[in-house]
Amino acid sequence: MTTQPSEPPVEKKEIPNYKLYLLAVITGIISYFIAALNPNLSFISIILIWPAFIAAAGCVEFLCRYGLGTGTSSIGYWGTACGATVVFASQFIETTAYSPFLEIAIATLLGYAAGFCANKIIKMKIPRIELNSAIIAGSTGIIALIILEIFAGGAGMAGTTVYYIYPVMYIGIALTILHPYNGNLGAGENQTRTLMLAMCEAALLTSLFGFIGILLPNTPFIPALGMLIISIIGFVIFVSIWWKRVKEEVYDVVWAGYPEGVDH
Amino acid sequence: MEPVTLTLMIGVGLAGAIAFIAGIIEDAESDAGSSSNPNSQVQLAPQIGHIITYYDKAIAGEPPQNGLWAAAACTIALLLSWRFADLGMGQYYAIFFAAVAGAAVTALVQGCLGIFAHISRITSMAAFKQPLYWHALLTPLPYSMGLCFLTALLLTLLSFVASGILGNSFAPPLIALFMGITLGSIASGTGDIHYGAERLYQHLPFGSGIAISNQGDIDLKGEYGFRNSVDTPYFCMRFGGTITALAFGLLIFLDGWSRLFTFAGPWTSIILEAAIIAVLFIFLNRLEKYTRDSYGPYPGQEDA
Repeated sequence: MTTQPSEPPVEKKEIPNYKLYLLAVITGIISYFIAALNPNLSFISIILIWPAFIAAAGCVEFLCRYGLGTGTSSIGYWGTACGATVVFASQFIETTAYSPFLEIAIATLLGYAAGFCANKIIKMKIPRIELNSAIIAGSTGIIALIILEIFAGGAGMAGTTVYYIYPVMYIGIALTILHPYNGNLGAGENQTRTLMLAMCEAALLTSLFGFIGILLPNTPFIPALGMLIISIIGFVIFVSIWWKRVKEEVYDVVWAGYPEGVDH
Repeated sequence: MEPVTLTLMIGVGLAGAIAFIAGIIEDAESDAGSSSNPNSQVQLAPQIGHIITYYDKAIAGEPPQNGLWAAAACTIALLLSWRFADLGMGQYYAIFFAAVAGAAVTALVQGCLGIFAHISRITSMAAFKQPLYWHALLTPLPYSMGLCFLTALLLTLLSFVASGILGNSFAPPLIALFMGITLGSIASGTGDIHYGAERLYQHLPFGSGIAISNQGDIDLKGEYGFRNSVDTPYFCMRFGGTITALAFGLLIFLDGWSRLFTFAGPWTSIILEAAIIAVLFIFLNRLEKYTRDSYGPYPGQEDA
């Protein structure tokens, strides 16, 4: 027996991912300079990196509709591998050419190259994978760059203790951009609710990073505390927006009981 | 016996024991949230007319999610242990209490992501008239979070043992990430076999796989009332949990041997594991042949 789906709700036109990415790049660069010039205003920087999570989650949603996995082996890890790795690797390169523009550009290009190879060499034949892979890599590069800058307190990447947080940063960013679509998977998935969940999870992750920042020995206390507080406030606001949307779309919300029409 | 060798032996035994317990707990954690293969079946059920009361905790793949729990808990534990040490606390106390705090924070993150996943996925099933049951979420949620706490705690302690006593050259958070991904992969590949088919399809014959036509046609009723995800780990710990624990525990235990016996350097553990796999393969092959000879072919395979 197959249940006939009821009439699907009329969905608004989706926001193109490149527009989300342009917003993420602009806010990301502003965010970087705020954190670099005045570390005490880093709570504003945190607000400005949330669009990068949304842009990347939007691309994961777009690509995974074509059958890419949403679990272990998936585009989220691929994109993060390109983006975050560029930022992490750049910390070991001593050069005067170091700048956020260069890092974001290299991350984006590397993501594009990975997507290009996927379509041209591996023949994955997924429409627009180059563009979306580039956006995911660029977005994860922005996120890693700004968080590391906040932890450094505007003093560059001096000190090695920050290297201890690379593993949690890498896997945390990857999961946060990947999970919004994975968590919404199903016939009724839509971009609006997926991106709302991306906002919730972005705030959750930056809360975790804020807590870690408070514990990091060389990180100034005030920026890390600001990061934690702003992220918690953002989390509460985003969850309330997401829950409102869920209540509009869910079939029914009940405490318990047997489903209608099922013998018991 | 030299003190160094004794310390190493204790470290190897401790690492193996922690890994074994972590294996049981992690498999139960994934079973409590219908992760991995069972997740697809739980997801399919409403589409074929089965209203479910399972906890649909989909967090982007079991290996990476475990990597996150372990890496987050271990990072917090490492940083917090430095703070505790600055306050004059002893090294081992500092690590233990910091590990507990790190695992507690991680369990909260897991709970949040689990809630998001369950509610969002159920909402996406609205077209199939699947309601959001609070009891299906709130009953297994604390259980699942508790198991996540234990998994994160054990993997954190394991990382500190590997880094400290066994002398692994990587930093504990990186070891924790590797351990988490490894354990998640083992539980996903080994433990879930004994959940996906055995527990979800008890009304169908077990032993030769589940036909595509039966995918999603899962059990809805439990021992009492409608089945929810709390029932599942109780069932799976008998076999899925222990087999996961055996695989992960043996891996860590034998890896430690490469520090005790150095006849082939870093390859020692690989040679030992290959030998054990060969012994198991031969034993299982003989057992299968004996079973077939004694009891005949499987039902439906008489012509083969």
